[in-house]
Amino acid sequence: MKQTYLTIILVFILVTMGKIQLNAQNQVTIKGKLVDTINYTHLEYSSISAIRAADSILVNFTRANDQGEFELKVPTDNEYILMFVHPDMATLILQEEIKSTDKNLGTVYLSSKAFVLEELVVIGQRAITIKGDTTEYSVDSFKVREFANVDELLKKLPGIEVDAQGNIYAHGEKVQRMLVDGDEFFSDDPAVLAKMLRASSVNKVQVYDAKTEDAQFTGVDDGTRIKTINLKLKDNAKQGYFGKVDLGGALPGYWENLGMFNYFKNKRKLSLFGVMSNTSRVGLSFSETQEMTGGSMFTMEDGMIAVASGLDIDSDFGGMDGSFSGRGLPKTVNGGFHFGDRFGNDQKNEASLSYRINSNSIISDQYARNHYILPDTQYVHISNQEQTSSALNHSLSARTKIEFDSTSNMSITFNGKMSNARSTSESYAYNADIHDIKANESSTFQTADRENKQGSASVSYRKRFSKPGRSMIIAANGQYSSNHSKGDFLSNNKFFISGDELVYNQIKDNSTENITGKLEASYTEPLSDMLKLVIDASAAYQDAAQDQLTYDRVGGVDTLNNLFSSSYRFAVSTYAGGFRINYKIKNWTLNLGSKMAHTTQLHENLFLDTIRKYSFVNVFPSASLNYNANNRYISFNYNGASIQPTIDQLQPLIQNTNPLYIRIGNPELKQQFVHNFGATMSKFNPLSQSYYYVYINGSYTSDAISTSQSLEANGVSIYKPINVDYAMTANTYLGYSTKIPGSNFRLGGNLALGLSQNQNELNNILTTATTYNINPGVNIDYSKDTVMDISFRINGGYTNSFTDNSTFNNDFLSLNTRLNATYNFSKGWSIGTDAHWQLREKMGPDDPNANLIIWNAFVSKTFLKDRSMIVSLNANDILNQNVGFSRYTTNNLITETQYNTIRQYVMLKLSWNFTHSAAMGKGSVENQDSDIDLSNPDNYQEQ
Amino acid sequence: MKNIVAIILFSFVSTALQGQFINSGTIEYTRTTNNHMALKIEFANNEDMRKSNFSLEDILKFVPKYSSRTYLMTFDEEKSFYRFDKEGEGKMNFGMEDPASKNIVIKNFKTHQYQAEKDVMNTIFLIQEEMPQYTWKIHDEVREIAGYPCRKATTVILDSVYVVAFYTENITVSGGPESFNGLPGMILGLAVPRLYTTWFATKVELKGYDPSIEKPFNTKKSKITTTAEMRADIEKNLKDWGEYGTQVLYKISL
Repeated sequence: MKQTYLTIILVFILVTMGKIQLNAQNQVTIKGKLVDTINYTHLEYSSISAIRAADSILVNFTRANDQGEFELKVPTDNEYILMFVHPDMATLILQEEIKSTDKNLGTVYLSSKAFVLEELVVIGQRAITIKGDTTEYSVDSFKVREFANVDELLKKLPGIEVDAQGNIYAHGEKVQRMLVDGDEFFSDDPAVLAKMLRASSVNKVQVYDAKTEDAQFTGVDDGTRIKTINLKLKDNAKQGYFGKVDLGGALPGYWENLGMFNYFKNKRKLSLFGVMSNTSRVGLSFSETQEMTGGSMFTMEDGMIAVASGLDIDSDFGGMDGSFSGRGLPKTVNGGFHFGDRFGNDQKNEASLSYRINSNSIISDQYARNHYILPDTQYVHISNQEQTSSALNHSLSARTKIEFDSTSNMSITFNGKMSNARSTSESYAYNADIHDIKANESSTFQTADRENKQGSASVSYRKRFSKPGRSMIIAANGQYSSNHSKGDFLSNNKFFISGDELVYNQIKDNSTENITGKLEASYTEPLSDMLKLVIDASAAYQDAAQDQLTYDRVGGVDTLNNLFSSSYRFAVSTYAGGFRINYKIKNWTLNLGSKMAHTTQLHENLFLDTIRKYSFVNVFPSASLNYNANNRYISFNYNGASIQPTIDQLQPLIQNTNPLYIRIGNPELKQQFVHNFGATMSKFNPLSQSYYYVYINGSYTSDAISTSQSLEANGVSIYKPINVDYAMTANTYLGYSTKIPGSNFRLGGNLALGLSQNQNELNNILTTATTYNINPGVNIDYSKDTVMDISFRINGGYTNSFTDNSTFNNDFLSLNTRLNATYNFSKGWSIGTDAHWQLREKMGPDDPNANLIIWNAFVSKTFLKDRSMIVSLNANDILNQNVGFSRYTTNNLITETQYNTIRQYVMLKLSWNFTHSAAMGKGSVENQDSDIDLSNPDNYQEQ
Repeated sequence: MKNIVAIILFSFVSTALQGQFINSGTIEYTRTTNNHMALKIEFANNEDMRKSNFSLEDILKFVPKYSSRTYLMTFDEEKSFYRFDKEGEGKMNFGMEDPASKNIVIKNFKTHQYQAEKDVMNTIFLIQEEMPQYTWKIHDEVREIAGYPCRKATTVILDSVYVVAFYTENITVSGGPESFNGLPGMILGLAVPRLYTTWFATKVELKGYDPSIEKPFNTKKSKITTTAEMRADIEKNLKDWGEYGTQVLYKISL
């Protein structure tokens, strides 16, 4: 009976859906027996439903007989969600892949509701789902305080961590980009966005590794992945408006103000925001400003050359490029808007416009001690630098996507950026031997005014053909950028060994202009149901000119100094073609491909009037194998790519901006070839709420570009980029997190291992340096509903680095402990504390900062009927121990830095979260998953 | 459990929830329609209406916002009998009966036969055919209706009309109001957003199949037909009826 019934359903599906090809003949039986976990009684009449995992369509259902036994016929070769329902039992869901043979599930245990409620009450539906390389968290399954921001939510998600600075880490890697519904919101900086958006407006959090835009665009995988978090908003959050206002003032002299407003109407979205702050808490790192102020315009794909920009002041400080490293005292004012709408037939076309303005400044004061270990000698470089820098950046972007019909669309993007920056720095430095006997000293004063303009446009057209799987993409893009910087360079240098003195009174005038254009086409042909072939071809052209001019100023007259100047122009043209095959079988996907590019580069040295022409062919192989099913994901991948030297490395220019540290270019540099390998595995077990994530990756670079460092007799170091045999890295990360059954505890552990080896030339001796580190960590989280949250994490670290021709071995242990707790009282009072204890093994007798505690705490009270207003008193660095110290080691160098930074303060802050939902939700076919209140017929608005 | 992935799902936590399996009984459904929403759409699409002397505001003034009606359905594992019971609040006095609002629907779960008597603008159709089949999509959402935990399922009829159903596994009969069926339990809630109409069970009585609910068909003279034929028949006559005609087509197809 059931069988005929099912056949009817199947025929119906076949007829109505058309696309799904199910063969009613190929059916198998799933059988089993339902038993109660406690009483071991049969669960007669329980319902068993088979739901197709791909689209949630109910395929068949049955009831258990009086023995609790059941039999269910389903079509073969599909993945099903099996749902077992009994009124007294907690609903059980199994995900099963059904092949071509009958499946006997054996005894299936259902737990009594009463029993389960006690133990696993916070478990929602599918808390975590693994879809390919994307891990998706269902927000409703993780409880947070009312009006908590997204960062508070993220802390609760297994596999995600938020550090004291607000940086977000997923699976041990820093999250670089955060999107909202797949779009950049107004800032894609995770730390800012996570503090602005309310957790309660978020439906799902997705974590994945995005390829770089260039890789997406060119289809050549450069192996670089951008850890990305995408927040999917709830549908009802996208009705009406919501926003936030924060006003904060602190003693001594800190402030933190923020305003944000989002308005949604149908598909229309308007966002406005403004941030004003001189604490590091909000709005200080604007990732796109780095692009904005120059830097690499176009990556080295296909033989393109990275164009560096402008004057470079040797500094670890940000400000010039808009980034903030936590050093110095920052001030920032940011603002912007984003407008998005849909238009046309069925509102399928999208358009958006966004504008941002960002003004920031940093005052920094830094002392650094660099200890160099060369095969035959050791010396120290001491520097003291004071710097002020400020920048004003504007950026405007417009985007539209037009759907001509269901098979073709076109997207057009424009971006424009403009920035002005100014910086002044004063420094004193010397080189000395390890007994602190000075070899030389240098006092330098430098200023720079920089101007940058950038524009880009791209058009792409996508078309799907009537044959399923056949498609085509044509894309064109163009970019233009211009950089100009000018400044004074005054430097006084004394060399004690020779008794020489060297004085510079110079003007540095650098400008870069770059034009790039690219045309690309890609065609996909399905060779069979399982096999697809992708063919692509591209042509690109780049024209760049870079002048780095130095003038000597003598008695008010400026004369060009050829030694420190260069004028370089280059043109690159690339023609590339390649193919990729995609083979899919069951839950496995195999990708194999290769791309070949023919590149011609023309370098013109306008000073020496020489022209050099290079022509070469590059090969970019790639391969990947992925498995995805049952909330488990496994992936292996490989890709290879050649990387061109940058123009700064090639240009035959002597950089004297630090007179004790001269850098010269090397026109003889060859391209390097890098092989990237990786494997990832992740799995979530919904029953035990345990989650693990493992990755291992490595790279091997042949003809790696490294440096040659030589110490001159007068104590000046000269650096030059050179090709060495190889460089390699290997990293692995293992993370596991599980809920302890029957408790409110979650326990996690992780282990990161890293190994890197590279070569460089020290005083003409080729040296191989090896560094390895081991970082284990443990974390325990306790949360009691929304009343109490405690999280404790402890991370250990061991680093060891050594070189092959020196007995010097640099190794140390470190320990980081962090305790974070909040408690919510009744009547809206909350208290919280965050203590971060850093402990590092002493490295020398005068090593001062091996042990420090940064302790922050707050007390807050909510007001208004809906508790949307919060007044809080925050104490930052209560023990005033944030002294600003860092230490790192590489190959032959140990650097210790002391800098000024944000220290102890007490801030009073008022936050107001406002929200208003217009007619909530819609019962349209599109929003099938929306949470509409069906008992109120007012909610039915037709599109 | 080897490669089995299991999830414990939480339904509504309420002590009032019914915990026994039910295979027979009687359900009272209340059908509610938002007349204003329906009229607004109709007004926007109907030029004659816009040209009339009445503004939309005038019309809305004398039309109650909601109209409700109750329906009774008695069922056991073999069959179900569903019929109009009484008018509720907001009765509209337009002279003509709302199409297909006083239906009698008989489903036989053993033979899969479906019989329905529908009064469509004073023409009575008697439909006899195989029980209609729906492709249901099952959702995670669970809500409580009349004390029973109900899971959300959705389907699309007539290519574009979205239907939301809430069914409970506690009742072992795969039935529901009007022609709806085929879920692993009884449908206690139904919504057709396109028609601004919902059916919600307001009462579930567990006294077995109640033959007193049964009622003979209104007429014995009606022609025996199928839903498709009836629709074709009506469609011919509704060509120029615009939005109203579309709504009638949807109403009679439920």
